[in-house]
Amino acid sequence: MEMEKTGAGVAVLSAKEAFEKLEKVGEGTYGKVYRAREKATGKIVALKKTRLHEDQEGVPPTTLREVSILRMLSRDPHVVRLMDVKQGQNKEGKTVLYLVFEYMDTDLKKFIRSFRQTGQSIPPQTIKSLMYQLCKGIAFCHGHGILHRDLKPHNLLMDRKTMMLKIADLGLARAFTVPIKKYTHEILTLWYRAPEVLLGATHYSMAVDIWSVGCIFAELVTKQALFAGDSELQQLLHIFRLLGTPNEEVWPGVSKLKDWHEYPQWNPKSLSTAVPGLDELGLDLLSQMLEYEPSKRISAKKAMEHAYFNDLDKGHL
Amino acid sequence: MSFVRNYQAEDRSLHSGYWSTFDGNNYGNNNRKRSRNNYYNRNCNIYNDNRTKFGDHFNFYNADHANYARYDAVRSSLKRRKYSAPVWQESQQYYVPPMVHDNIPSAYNFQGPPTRSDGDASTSASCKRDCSIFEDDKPVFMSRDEIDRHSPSRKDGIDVHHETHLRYSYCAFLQNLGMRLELPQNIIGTAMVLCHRFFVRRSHACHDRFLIATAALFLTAKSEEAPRHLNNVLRTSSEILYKQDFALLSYRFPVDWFEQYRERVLEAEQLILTTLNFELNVQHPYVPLTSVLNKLGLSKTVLVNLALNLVSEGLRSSLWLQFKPHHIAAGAAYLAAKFLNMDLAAYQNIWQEFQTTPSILQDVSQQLMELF
Repeated sequence: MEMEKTGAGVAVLSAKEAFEKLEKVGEGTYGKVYRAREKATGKIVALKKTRLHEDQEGVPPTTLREVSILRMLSRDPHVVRLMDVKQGQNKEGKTVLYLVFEYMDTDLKKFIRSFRQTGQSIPPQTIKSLMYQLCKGIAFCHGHGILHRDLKPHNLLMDRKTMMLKIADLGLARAFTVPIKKYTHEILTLWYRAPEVLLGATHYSMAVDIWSVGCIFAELVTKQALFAGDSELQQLLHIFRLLGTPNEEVWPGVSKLKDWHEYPQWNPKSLSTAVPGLDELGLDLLSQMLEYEPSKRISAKKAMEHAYFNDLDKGHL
Repeated sequence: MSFVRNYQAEDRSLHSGYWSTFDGNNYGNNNRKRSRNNYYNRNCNIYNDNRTKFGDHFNFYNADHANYARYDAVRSSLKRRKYSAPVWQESQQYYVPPMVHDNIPSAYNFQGPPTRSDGDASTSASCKRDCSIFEDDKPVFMSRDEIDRHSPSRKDGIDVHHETHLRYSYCAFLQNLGMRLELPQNIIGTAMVLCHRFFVRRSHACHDRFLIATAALFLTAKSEEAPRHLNNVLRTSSEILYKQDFALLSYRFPVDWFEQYRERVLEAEQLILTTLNFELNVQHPYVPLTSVLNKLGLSKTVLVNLALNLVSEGLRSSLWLQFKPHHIAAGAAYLAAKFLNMDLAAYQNIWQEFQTTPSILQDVSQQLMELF
């Protein structure tokens, strides 16, 4: 039986010996995700397999970032827990890395889809609870100087029984320092991408995550993506149609952004037209999450204190 | 104004200290496919007799090899040299006296120094959940005495003075490599700290520091969103270590040397990750230093520049393993003020702003002074 040696001289089981793969549950940029059983304890885990030498450049940057960031954040109940990192070998004898996560039985994308298929609305208290947990998890990340940068329903894992929500897939996350540095704007799934990123801003901060949270909030209510563009331009136009075309008055500096052009002029509509099922307090919170000017966008910490959450039992969250 | 001192051996033929990267074990049969675990399990005695098989390929020493067989023979000749050239200039030589080692890799049975943890970061929520190997990770700092006494290199006969010299040499190498690869200073600094963390857990006798440093910089650049192609890193690293144009190196070494070097660096990358348990986050003192001095209206002064330079110099030391970033920042500001005959005590609450104490201040500034 092959065993690996750790730095302290302890022999540890390789991934192959430690886990029994049960089924493939997904596929990411750098490899597959499996549901697996830990042989020693019988505990069900998620194994995220990372191919190390696909591009001959060693361990992928997304894996490095994800693991080093999760080391900091895995303490929080609303961030998926990285339990271990194991090395193994694939059929060709190449080294692969397995990230061992706690197993969650669904994600927010599937959860929303299940309601859409049955034609039911997600109960308002469920939306409130999920939103509070999301804000809490993001506040924790931001409090530790981490931007997620790829928030979307698919990256929010859930436990159906407990309705617990956890932030996952931190492969695009990064630590930020003040003053905010230039970051790549080739990030984030289009539908949840903040306007400053779409307009080519290279200096951005926590506000990009809050925009995504706002889009997810609206999607929980309507069961449809709020801004479903199929290109960067279309995405911007979707946003402008609802929130109005921004100008220097509502967003100082917008016309100086790298990808700013002359766009069709739309006046802002009421958010209630796009998110009809949401109450007044919810609409107020949503409007603060979808502020054009990043510095005016509500923070995750402030969002948790919003009156919308006043009637929520936060004890178990 | 440069505060650099480069450590070199007097009256010795200098070499790159790069021997172990192409040690004889790997060239016993050029056609042999090495297993990826070879790096981890390789005999610690890097000056293996197999080296004689390759004659001139590895004749890095002009002097008789026996002259360097024990570190004791050269300890007295290590002497501080003052350079007024820019920091870690390219003329820097990387000298390591070869040593005789035991055959047991001490890294595998080293339990690590006792550590002092900084503040309790556990949360009630996490206590209820199953344990993870990464659970409740908090920055662990060690005292200088712990670092000096418990370093795994001690078991292999490398004393504190010599280990300090080795640390300076891989930092010089990293600075040079990072600048040639046009990497920002904070990435170069992070790579240095990762190397310090590595060698607190593993012996210098068992691991070629330049190989580890190359892998650490490659790794850091990726994790900090400034990736450099591995081939570029390898080429540049080889040119620095052999002080020759890359094109000429192909004539010096066996046909597949570059491929083997690439494999070794990728193995070293994985070794660093497992040794450090993926702890790649490094906090630097630059931010607390500038923000506190800014608050006090000292942002556009010579003091800031000097203090920042002192912080950069401090990267060669083990300070990052001992203190929080704001403590190092405070020590650098204190020492810079001393150099400039400024009285920082005139600025009320300055040390409270840095959240530091007189003893920490004294300790940090003293260790920074030792670098000069």
